[in-house]
Amino acid sequence: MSLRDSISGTSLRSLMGARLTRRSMLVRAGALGAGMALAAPLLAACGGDDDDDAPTATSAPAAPTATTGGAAEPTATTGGAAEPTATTGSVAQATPTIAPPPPTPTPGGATAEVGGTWRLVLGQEPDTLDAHKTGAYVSGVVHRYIGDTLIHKSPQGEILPALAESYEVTEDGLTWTFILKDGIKFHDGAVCDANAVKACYDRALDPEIKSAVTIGQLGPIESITALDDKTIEFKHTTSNAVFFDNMAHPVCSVLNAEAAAAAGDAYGRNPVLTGPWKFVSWEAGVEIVMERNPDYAWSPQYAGHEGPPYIQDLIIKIFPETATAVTALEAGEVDQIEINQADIQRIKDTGKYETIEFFRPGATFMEFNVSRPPFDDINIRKAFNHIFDREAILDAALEGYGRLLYSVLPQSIWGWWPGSVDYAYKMDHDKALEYFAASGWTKEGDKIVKDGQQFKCTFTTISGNQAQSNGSQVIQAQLRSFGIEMEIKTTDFTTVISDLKAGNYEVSYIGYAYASPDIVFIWFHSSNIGTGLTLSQNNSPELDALIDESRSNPDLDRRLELYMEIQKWITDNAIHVPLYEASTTYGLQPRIAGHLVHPDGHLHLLDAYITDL
Amino acid sequence: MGRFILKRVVLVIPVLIGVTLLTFMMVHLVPGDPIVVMLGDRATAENVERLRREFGFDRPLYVQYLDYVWSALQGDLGSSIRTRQPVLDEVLRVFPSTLKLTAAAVLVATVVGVSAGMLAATAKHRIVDFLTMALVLVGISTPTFFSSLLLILLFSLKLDLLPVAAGSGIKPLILPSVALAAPAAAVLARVTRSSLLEELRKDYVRTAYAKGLKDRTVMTVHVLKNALIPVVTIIGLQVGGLMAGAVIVESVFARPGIGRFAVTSINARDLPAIQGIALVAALIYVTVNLLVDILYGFIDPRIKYR
Repeated sequence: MSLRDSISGTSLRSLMGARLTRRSMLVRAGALGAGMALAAPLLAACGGDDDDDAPTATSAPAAPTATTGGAAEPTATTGGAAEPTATTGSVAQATPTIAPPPPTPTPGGATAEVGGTWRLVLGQEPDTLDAHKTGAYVSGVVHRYIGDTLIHKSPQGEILPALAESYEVTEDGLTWTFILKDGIKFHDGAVCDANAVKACYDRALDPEIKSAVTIGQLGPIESITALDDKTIEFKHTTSNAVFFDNMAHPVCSVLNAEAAAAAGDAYGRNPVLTGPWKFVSWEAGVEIVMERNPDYAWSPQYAGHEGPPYIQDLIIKIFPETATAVTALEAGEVDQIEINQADIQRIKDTGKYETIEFFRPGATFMEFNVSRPPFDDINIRKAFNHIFDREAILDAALEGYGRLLYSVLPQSIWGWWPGSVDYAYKMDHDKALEYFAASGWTKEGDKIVKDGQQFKCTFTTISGNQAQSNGSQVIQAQLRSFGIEMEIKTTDFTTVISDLKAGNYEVSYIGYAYASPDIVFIWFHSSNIGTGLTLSQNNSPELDALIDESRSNPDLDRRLELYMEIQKWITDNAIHVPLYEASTTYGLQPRIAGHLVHPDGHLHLLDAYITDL
Repeated sequence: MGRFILKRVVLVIPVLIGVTLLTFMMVHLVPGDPIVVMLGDRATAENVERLRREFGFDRPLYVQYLDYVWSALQGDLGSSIRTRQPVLDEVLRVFPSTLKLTAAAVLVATVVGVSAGMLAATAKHRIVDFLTMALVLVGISTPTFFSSLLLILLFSLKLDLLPVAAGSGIKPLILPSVALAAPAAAVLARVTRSSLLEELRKDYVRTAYAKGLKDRTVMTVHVLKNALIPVVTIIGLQVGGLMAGAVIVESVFARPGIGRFAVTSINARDLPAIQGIALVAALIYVTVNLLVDILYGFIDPRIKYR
């Protein structure tokens, strides 16, 4: 964990600690925000104090002894994800609280100038650019360029004020108050004050809008009140610790509710927000054009410079075929693509493009259906966890572009338990046979049998997914050499999800892409069996209690501990075989500088500029 | 003729009702839920149930269907669940692009296919005939996806003559329309060749030659007109194939269009959009074939409509 993370982590903990009164919390918050830039070097010098309560990787309870033998596990890098820290601060400060990332060195030492066009490729077209009606990742990417949220995750993973200049939360975690920056305007020139923000979130709560994700992000809202022009208050009926993470999500971007009401259905194709680029046009299936917002004076705290962005025009090109996208990059028709695995090495070898490899938060597993045979038997699930050479699966599925997964949370999500590297099951066939034997299965010849029948199972996989196609064949081969016959059943994504939700499967190849540890609620809470995504059908009051507390307890230390316990519980009960985290590789034309990858996976362009103007 | 057309137009109505019923049933028989697709990793039970209620998916299926048909009869095809836009707007937004692509492909397929067929027929059993038929075999057997990528590699990347992706003007239309037209051109070449050869064996051709007419006159004035009747039918039927091929070509060449819209809508289980696309596709297919039937009358006056 970096020093900066420790500082911010301590700040929030002291802000949220039960020892403080509401008033003293406010005073501290203000002082902290104002003094942070100056205090950082000082705190660096006396960092020892910080370390005592910082939820660092090492602060987790010692991991139980790892299971014996097996292939050597690679060391996982720790501190992959920054803690979702909170600070208060003021953008009026000349110096941003968080130092900007160092600009990418440019050939020829170009300096930042306004102008140019950057053409980036998305593989899917956004469904709608109405933040309240979308749940699509690609729509979120566009919102990162045209919109702003009240608080925002920085490229370093810290959650910092964005449209809000500061905020406060009551000790009981029920009331969150945000103070807006001055002079914020929507792209149509309308003022974005507390009333406009209230109107935006009131719209999301309106059943007529049929909000996709935003309403869920807001949580158990009791009331939203504009206390004055700059102050907006959210009251919850129950303590909502994940509200903080949730409000930084692009579906919570502040939109102009009046413009939305006037446009009706058409608003989704004519969004009006406050972001650094303005929406210009959307040609269906071809491109979305955005232009620089020259009035942008409310850049988030972490931005490397104040004021509008440098790049004049941003164009999002829609290329459903990755092969075509690569060709378009090579033909110079586009500037930024996600490179197909098969082409990564070739593109790197040309030496003509900048490539950036990163981990988009997410994870892939072999998920067991614990509600029906054969995987309702914990011994069988544990045995399976000891069978696989996961490195071989990783190599086959991702051609090396990824890393091993050790628990339900990947290293790229805050809350990941570093102890899980040792705690995870290791390949150990003797151990696997012991677990099989405990359930009456024995190895006869080259087969695992019981009552004369070989152990068989069906593996549900998703069609059109090359990684799954390659990975499942290696999994099948490894099981076969162990003595298990596994049939691979492949259908389209929507059908697979439907089957999995209904518990109509034995074991499946599945994963998620999610940036918050609250994925454990979506993926494992019993309330999400059937209609939600608790695909394992696991119903455990003990696990539910841990998850419920992780969602309601605002104490970050306690939450981190809870996530550790949840990961341990899931490993102990062998709900799945963790497989891998896939990396993504961007290929860029080498005519940009000042850019970096945001933890959510999009390219952060606010400080970027074109070098060949 | 007028009565014939009227009868055919009236027949379109049960066809369209059949199409909506079949699509409705198919979408509901296939597993998958538009709400889950929409919510992705945020599909908590609470969110799913709320949206199912708000979109009216908790109502009995027959109620949903009748509601849809009733609205459709009033000209309202509903709103897409995925994009939340009126389906008609969505279809009309992308339709011109597909129409342009399909029309260009029909043109390429007809010109290339018929010319190749004529060339092969006139050079029957000679080297030109064999070469043309070999090319036809390649055209029919090469998957559109593969030929599209080959065309891009050659003409966009290696020769730098044409753009990879969609844009304005004729240039971006060339590669996709050639890729889309290839299988249809191959089929047309074969049909033209066999049809011409059959006609050439007929008595009136011998008579024409006996009267001292030249090869070219016999071919263009007499034979071609008769030989083209089955070719016109095949062109009509190929329109369906071309629209299906557009699904792939539009994706590879990153072109907007009804094919791509269909794929996205099916993956999202976006019922109103799928219904809308099926209706439009059916309407186009029926209309084109009606036009072909009417064309017959002009090409061959022996054909009478009742």
